[in-house]
Amino acid sequence: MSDKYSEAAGTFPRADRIIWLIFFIVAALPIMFPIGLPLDITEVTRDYYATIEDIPEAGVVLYSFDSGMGAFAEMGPADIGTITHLTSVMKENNVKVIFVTTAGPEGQVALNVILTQYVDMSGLVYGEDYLNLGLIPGYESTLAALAEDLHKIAPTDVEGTRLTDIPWIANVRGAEDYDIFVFSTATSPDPYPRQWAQYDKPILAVAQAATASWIRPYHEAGMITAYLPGQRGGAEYEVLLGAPGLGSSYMDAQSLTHVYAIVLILVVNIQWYLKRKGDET
Amino acid sequence: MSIFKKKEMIQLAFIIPLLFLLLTYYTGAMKGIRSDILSWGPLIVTFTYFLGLATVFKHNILKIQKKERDWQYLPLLFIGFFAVLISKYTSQPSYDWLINKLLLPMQIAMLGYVGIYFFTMYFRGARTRNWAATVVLGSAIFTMFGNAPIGPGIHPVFAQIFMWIKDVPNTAGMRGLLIGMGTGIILTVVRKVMGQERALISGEAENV
Repeated sequence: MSDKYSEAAGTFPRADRIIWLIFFIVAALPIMFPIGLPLDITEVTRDYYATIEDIPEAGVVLYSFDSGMGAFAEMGPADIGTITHLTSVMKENNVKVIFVTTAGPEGQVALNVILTQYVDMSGLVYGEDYLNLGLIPGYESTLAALAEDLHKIAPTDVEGTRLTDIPWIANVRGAEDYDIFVFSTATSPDPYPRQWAQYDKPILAVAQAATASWIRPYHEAGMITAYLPGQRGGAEYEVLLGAPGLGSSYMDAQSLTHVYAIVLILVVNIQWYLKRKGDET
Repeated sequence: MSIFKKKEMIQLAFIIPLLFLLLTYYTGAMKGIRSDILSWGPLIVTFTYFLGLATVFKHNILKIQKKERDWQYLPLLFIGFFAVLISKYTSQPSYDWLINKLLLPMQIAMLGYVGIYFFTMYFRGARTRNWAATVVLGSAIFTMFGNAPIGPGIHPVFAQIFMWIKDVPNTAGMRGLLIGMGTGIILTVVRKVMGQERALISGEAENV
């Protein structure tokens, strides 16, 4: 099979095409016809929810949105859930949110898609309830500078309004004035706790399931308060918010595709074992 | 390098981190200067964007001029760049269409493509050839079953094994990796401060 595969440069062998076709069917069917498998809520997701609920009256949230469009299917549900929850505390407790992107321009694109298409921002006024500082390139040095002195690094918001002209943010200077840090990243989570954990404020993280293991040591050390790992984290959060959405529908698809993967592994190994046994005899 | 000689650069790389470390981090002194220096970072990175843009344009225009392999696809780069740039500042609906109907689905498709290739890998490479491969495959099976709702739905033991894999060997491995990375960062800082790390002045690192 492998020889055929290498000979067939530019084309795909029939076996691959069948595998992909079955994958497509297995992934698409539960999205079109949801099964609604029950989902256990993990402790870390409950902590994440409780941390947002505990933001004090008129508290300030610094949200570094650094995940891009490529990771939207994986991280979108968790980001949408987080911002949806933040909007509710913005309305109920007069909490203010400062959005910013530090890692690359894509974060702003994904953030705007979420704010305009997936989260109900009605009743909230830009500039009064939340603010977007846009892209401030620099990643880790920007994260450090945001915690040090916000006004030095971002004299204006994304629309060009001077921060000194916005009453509630005029007195927000740095880490001591934020009540909570939130970040969403599709790559390395290291810079965030490295720059922010020293200020002893809660830090929430949205990450890919693949990078959750990267975040876990920081979480166990108390440097990151809680995190949502990928689609699974997003789906759990939707259950807690009582608003099933993208994450919940993806979970059924994930269940079936995982079963399909396991079946493939088992079938291939049984076939390989039988072949090896046949060769030996 | 015209104003500062290599020697001065090494001295600056020695003094500034040392001041940050000894004064600002531990005592809070010179905080204003520190935040000033930190705010230079984004400015420098912004200029690197322009540098990157100029390099991409130069490199690809040359490739088109020389009609190098697959040069026919390169104009798409320029069309895409100018379409996004112009639409962003002249027509918001056009920009939204480019983002929502082209960029978003294409990038999700690219990431999804990786997932699809995993299934080919399961079919071709996931064989229990030795005990190490068996452990990896066993972990993969329990992780997949434990992470998706169907696993605990079949039997709670899948979730328990998944949690153990996640909390014990996986976290221990990552913790070890992070400690190694942290030690590496400290060593790099020490080498920079001692003038041994000269990559920042286009020199070669000296062996200590």
